[in-house]
Amino acid sequence: MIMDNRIMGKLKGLKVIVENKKIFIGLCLVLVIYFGSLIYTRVSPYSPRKIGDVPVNMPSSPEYPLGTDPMGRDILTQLCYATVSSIQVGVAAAMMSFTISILLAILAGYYGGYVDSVISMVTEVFITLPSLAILILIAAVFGRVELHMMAIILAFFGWAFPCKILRAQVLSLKERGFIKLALLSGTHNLEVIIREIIPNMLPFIGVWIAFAIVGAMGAQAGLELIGLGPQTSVSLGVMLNWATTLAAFTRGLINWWLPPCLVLMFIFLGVALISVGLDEIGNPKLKARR
Amino acid sequence: MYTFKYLIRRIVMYLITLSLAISLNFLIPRLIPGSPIQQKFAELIRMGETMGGTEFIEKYEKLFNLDQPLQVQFFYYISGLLSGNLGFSISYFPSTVIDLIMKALPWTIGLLFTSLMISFTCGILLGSLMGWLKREGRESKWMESIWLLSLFLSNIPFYIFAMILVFLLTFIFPLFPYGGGIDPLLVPGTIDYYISILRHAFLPALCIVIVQIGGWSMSVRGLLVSVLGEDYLFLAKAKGLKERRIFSRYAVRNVLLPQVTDLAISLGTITGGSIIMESVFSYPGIGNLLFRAVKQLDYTLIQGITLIIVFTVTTAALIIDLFYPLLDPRIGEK
Amino acid sequence: MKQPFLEAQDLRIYYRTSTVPVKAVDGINLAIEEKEILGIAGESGCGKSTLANGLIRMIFPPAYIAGGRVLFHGRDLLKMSEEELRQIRWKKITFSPQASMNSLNPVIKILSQIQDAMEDHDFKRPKEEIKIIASNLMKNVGLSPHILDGYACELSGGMKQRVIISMGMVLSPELIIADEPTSALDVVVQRGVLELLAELKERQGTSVLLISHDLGILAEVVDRLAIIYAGKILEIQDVYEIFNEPLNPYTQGLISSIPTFDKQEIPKSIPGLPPNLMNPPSGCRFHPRCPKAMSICREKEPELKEIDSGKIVACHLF
Repeated sequence: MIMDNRIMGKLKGLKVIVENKKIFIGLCLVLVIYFGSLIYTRVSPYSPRKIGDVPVNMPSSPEYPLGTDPMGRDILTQLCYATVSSIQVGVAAAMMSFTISILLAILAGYYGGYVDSVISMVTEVFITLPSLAILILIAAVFGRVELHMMAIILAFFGWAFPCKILRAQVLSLKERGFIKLALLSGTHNLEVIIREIIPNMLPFIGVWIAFAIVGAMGAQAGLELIGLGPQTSVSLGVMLNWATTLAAFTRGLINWWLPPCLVLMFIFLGVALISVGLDEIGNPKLKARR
Repeated sequence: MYTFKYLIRRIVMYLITLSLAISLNFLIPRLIPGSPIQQKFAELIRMGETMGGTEFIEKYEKLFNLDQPLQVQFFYYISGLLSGNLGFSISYFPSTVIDLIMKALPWTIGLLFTSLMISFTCGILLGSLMGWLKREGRESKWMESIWLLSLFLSNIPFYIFAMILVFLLTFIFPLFPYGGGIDPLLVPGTIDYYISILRHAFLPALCIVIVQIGGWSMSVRGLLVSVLGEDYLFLAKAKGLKERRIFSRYAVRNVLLPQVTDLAISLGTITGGSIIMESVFSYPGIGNLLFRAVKQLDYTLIQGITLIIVFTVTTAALIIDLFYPLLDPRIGEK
Repeated sequence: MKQPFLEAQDLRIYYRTSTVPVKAVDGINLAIEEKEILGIAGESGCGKSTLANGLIRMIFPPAYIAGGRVLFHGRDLLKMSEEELRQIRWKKITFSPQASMNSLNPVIKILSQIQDAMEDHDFKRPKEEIKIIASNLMKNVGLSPHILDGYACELSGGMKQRVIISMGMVLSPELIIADEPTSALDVVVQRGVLELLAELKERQGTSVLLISHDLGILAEVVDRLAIIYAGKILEIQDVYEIFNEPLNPYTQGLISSIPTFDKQEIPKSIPGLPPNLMNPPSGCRFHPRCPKAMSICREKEPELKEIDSGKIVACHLF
């Protein structure tokens, strides 16, 4: 009986989420971009990195929908491989950093006391540190950074800000009546956390996962742009780095540098829409006056 | 109001952050096996250089104190820092790191400071108006589109928007110069000199301002809407106060202060984005210097720049945090 | 009989929902006379605060005014322009909201909050004079004038309440609408506030509309008492009369539920629950819980009428 209700509740929740216009559009945007690129990478006959794969500097044509670059590679193929890599790294980094965020936020917010003080202090320090500068230092020191290392490094700095906000959330939830009730009726701490606190934080969790993804992808592309990216794979920032090093602006190769920019912009827009939509669900703005 | 405890706590946090940054700055380059000099030489040899050999490496290592044990190096490092010596640049030798940084830093600070001031004030005004007009259902169709536009713009990384701006306003409509901070042929002190600075700084500033305004106005709008639901606004209206007063002294005043803390927090991220953006514009600031240092594997320069960036950002955040309680009587008591 | 200067006629205020509107105030007729303290008593959720807000048209979505008039010296407040109403608010009619813990602007000084009301109502005076007026106001409510230079976060709940009430006196209004001014205060401060209201009536001739769920509080200080139930007024009488001889069965139930020193028995509570205002009972709203209900009570709503001098009641028993 109770299980049925729970499942019904979850389905209803999903329904609310998908019905929200913003989330729907955002989700479509992101999924279409990702899966579209993924499919094309399987389908395309060209290689994204092999130099001299196809004739150089061809304009856009049915054979090469976005033309080819000065090193002899089909741009559309490059773009799709790049998109898939960037998204994968971004999501991986976000997942890692978010796990840290939520764990620390719950530890700090729920248990409080000494643990909270220590975690809060560490979080504050990491928030004020201009992480990109230190990221650049780390990346420079390690030379070229491969994708998996990139994800780990990004996660190392991205966890702080969401952690602070989530901790505030946990604190305010902890004070609410139903939590105290659950504790009084003898529920174990862990069960309270899993059954009561986390479900009530789901919209906020969604918002901050989105934030983490955007942050990770932005930092990643930025690092790659200045030349600290991977050497053995292509991603969006790497494409931009190639384009700028080979003076794509002055050579008028707009079909090379503009598509990665647009892809990033639209992915970010999609993720932002999802996060705004989730925010609306979590904070109903219609407060009845008195 | 302003308690001593708050002050102490904030300063302690500041010192901890700085110490951590300094230590990281010291340790990270030394984590890799082999000294930076060896790395650099390996790179050079790969590129075809054949000069020197082991004695050369030894000589340089001695110069940069790299042959000493870690604790000794740390000691030299700290004493160097305290006297403002950040060492020599490897690629621009014999220029010192501090010299190079001091030439580039004013450009970055000028750019960031002006852009942030403009975008912050405009963002607050815009966001407040948007939030204010939202109440009592006075929202119009094109408020929604402005909101969507702000959402779109605020999520674009600086460097991406920079590329688009450069393309539009330098290549398609050649209104602004491409890259650099100033026309090198001009004489300092003349009107032309200053106009040239402004022309070159316009695009980077525009880039930061547009992206940031989107962000600030969205968050201010949200804050204002929640302030509108507060009891003191209800009483303000029941007091028969004039609308303009309610807007400025009851609504915006209460939104201003949380936004300032936001500013302090986002300084780090904004600086990071701006740094990458400078490389797109070849703007002669810290970012561009860092970019070139990375390209040439100039470790001392990279280290020095990172340190200066961390120092400037954390100090600026500290200053803002110390000002904040003066504006909001509630903080400083916590 | 004194002349009423504020009259609500058939006032209706509803709340929009996704289904049927909630009829919080459904046809209320009320008149406040000069130099009197009129109390309004009722259970939680019976529409008291909505009524109070509605009298000065402080109604915001999802609430809306569905009908009726509020005549202030003959002019309908509900039909006035926003600017005309703004000038009346605070100057003629002052409002003290329920639970004023958050009703003071947290970021400006207390003195400024007294001053801005004065300025916006064209009451311009030099700075020193304003400071003296404000200090006197503070002393009147038993507060030290030095809080004027401080902020709301430095005051306790009771102090904030007193500040707001005294702020309301700055322009010598004709009417104070006090919505549960004592519910968040301790008994000592409660007494102080009630004495203040009584004093204002005596010395300055200000009328007070005192809203509370606490009959004890009301009994201390009001001249007349109105009983509100499910968005409707059921009885209005002189306060002594109403305690001596309550007319409406609901009133009787309320009064007999107050514990007293002389009766030894356990006070009786009224059986049942207050009705759902989206779908109120037909006829007399109280009939499902009324011990004296007749068949007509289910069919027809009783009219609020004056059966004797000063005795106004809505019940089919009369």
